[in-house]
Amino acid sequence: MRLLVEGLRLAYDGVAIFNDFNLDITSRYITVVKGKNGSGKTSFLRILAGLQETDSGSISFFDMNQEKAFLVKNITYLGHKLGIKDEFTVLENINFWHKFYKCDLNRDIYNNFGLSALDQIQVSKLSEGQKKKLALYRVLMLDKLILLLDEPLANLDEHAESYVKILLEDIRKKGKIIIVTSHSDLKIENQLIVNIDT
Amino acid sequence: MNQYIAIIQRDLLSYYKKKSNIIFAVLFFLMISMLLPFGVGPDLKLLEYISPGLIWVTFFLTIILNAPHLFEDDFKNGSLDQMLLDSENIHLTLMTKIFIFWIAVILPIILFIPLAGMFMGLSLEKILMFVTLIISGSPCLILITAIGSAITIRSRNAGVLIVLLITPFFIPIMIIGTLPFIGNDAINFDFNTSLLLLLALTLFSIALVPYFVAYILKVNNE
Repeated sequence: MRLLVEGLRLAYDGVAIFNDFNLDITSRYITVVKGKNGSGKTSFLRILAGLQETDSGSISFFDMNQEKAFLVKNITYLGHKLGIKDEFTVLENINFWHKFYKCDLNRDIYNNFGLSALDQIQVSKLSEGQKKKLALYRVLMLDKLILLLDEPLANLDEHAESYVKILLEDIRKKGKIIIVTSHSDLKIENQLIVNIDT
Repeated sequence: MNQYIAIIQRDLLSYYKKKSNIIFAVLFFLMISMLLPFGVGPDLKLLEYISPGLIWVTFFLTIILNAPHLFEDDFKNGSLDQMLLDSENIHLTLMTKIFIFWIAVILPIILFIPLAGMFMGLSLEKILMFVTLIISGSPCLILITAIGSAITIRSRNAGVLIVLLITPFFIPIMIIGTLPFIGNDAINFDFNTSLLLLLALTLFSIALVPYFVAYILKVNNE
């Protein structure tokens, strides 16, 4: 599978965030988009997800076995806003996703993130790291072809961080495209670092 | 279908967990309905004559008060991204959310309209007529409110902005809803005409509004 970004330009109030940005992404690597604060990493992911318009440029999806429309509908995105309801318990959030996405509990991820011990706790009482694990559970349990993750390792403890890295590598090996953003070096296997600043 | 059932269950649970908002809305509606007769004075005939209009206005104010709750939470916590990205049909998803808002927030207020009508001296027959008109017209009001709520999703003063944006659209609905209760021999606007017009407006809104709301949310969510 291949994702081609050509001549992407985005400006806010006339100030260009990125200009003529080109990228050729395949499932051979986990693509890590690096850059300073405000360099447009999140905007770039939102554009790829179809949640934001660009000023110019194009994004093309190629796969020998799948139609383009199918690929566009096969994107999962995790942004800074985690998509979890604070007034719900962990289990209530998870149950909603299972029904909404028509999938079953992924015990491996659920247990490794320690969510089984938290399932009756209200999300508003969780730490930022625990909330991140819950949000990551959603994107990692889905069997989507393209994963767009905005700072997926931020706030995670060491165990969860290494577990997520292993999972991402497993997903990549299945031929899926993974794009993550980060300020720093994530030290992920088979990563292709793209600096959005340059 | 699973997606819509999931949204219905989640939104109903969410409204249940925030039930104080609904209780506050009902209390607000009843308090204003109780206060208005004091402002009109001791003329019971005048009160009965103007009370349908007063209840419409009170109902309208209560809706406005709760309008920001429609999409605000989903926007703030990022669920809106998931809905826009993963919904099988975003228009049906939004329609489901608006319908649940009507069930959870508006229906409890409608249930207290007979009480408000009694405060204002309306006869039982008129109360029944009025409730029928509100039930047929309120979905249209909520759908218009949804447009306002979507437009102001990023705004800090969403409540005030919604009032400014949607009040003009409520006026025709209120006129249609109150005409059967006042002397209108010249235009002969009876209850059935009012009911059919309100139902027509509701159906027209159901057909069009989800498309507007989806577009506005998509643009505002960028």
